[in-house]
Amino acid sequence: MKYFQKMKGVTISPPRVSLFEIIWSWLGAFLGIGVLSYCHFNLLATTDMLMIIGSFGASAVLVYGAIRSPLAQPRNLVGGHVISALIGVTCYKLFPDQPWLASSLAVATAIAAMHATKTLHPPGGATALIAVIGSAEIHALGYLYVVIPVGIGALAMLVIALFINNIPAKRRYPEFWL
Amino acid sequence: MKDKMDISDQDVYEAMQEIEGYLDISMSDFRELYEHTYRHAVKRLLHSTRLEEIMTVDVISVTEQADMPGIIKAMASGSISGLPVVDTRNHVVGVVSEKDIFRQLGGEKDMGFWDILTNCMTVNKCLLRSVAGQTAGEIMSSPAVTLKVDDSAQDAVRLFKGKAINRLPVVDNKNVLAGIVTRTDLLHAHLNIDEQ
Repeated sequence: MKYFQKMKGVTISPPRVSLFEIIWSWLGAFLGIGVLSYCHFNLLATTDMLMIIGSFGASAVLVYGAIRSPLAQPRNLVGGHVISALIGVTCYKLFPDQPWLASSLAVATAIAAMHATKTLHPPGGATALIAVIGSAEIHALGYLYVVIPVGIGALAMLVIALFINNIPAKRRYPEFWL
Repeated sequence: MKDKMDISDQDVYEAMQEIEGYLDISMSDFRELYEHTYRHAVKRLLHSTRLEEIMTVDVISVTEQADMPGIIKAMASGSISGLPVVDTRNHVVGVVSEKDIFRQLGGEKDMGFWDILTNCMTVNKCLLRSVAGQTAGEIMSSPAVTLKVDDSAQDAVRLFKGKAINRLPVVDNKNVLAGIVTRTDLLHAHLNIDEQ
C-alpha cells in the first residue's frame, strides 16, 4: 500500500452502542467521578491532599464506557496510572528546570513502560504529564503523588466500576484481573 | 481444507451490533485476528483429532490375487477410485487406483479415462481384454503409504499434500487394515467441528 493511500483508511466506523449502554456508561462515570470529586472538593478541601486529577476523566471513559476493552481492565487501570505516576515524578525531579524535556520524557517513557508491563492505559500518559506540568501542590507531593491521588483514586474508580458495571445482566467487568 | 474465511466489513458490523457494549476493536483488526485464530483452531483440531475418530471403517479391499474384473467390480460397488490391496493376514501391501488401471489399459502414463475410451473406439489399441488376467499384486502401487490409527488428522493432511494422494489406508498396531481415510473424511470431520 502506497504511503498516501494508507491515509484514506480501510474500513467504516463501528456501530453506535445501544441507549442501554449509553445510560449505564453515564451512570458509572457520574458515580465514579462523583465520589472522587466529592472527596476532593468537600472532604479534603481544608488539607493539602488531592483526590482527583484530569487523567481520571479519561479513565472514566474506559472503565465505565468501554468496559470490555483490554485498556480498561483492572491491571491496566491501576498499573498504568501507578507506573506512569512514578515515571512522571521521577522525570520532574530529574529535570525540574527543563519542563519540555521532563514532559516529553515522562509521557514517552510511561507509554514504553506500560507496554512492557502489559498495563497500557491511555490516561496513564496524562498522569505522567500532570506530574511534570501540574500545579505547585502536585509538585509538592513528590512521590506521594503516586499513592494519593493516583493510586488511591484509581483503586476507588476500580471499586465503583466493579459495583456499577456488574449490576445489569448484560454487562460484566472485568474481563481479566492479571 | 480452507485455512482462511472471507469476512466482509458488513459481517463484522452486524456482529458488533448484536453484541452489547462498546467493542474496542476496528473491523480490519477483527478480521485479521479472526483469520489467525481460525488457522490456529484448525491446526489444533487437526492435531488433536485421531484418525480412528474420522476414518471409514468398512473398507473395501482386494487381495493380491484379485484379477482386473474383480478390482473394477469392487471399485464400482463402492463408487470409489482406489482400494487397498491386502495379503492373507490382512496386512496392506499396496494400493490400486484408477491411475494404475488406466496405465495398464493405455500403455502410457497419465492417460485418463477419455483417452483410453478414444483409443478403444478409434485407434484399435484397446487393451481391455488383454489386461483382464492381471492381478492386483501386479498393477498396484507399492509399498503402500499407510498411517496408524493413533496418528493425527494433521499427519494425513501432510501426506495428502506431500504425496498428492486422496486416500490413505489406516492400520492398527499389528499393521492390520483398520480403515481408510480420505480427503472427504477430513472435510466432514471439519464440518462437524463447525456444527458443534
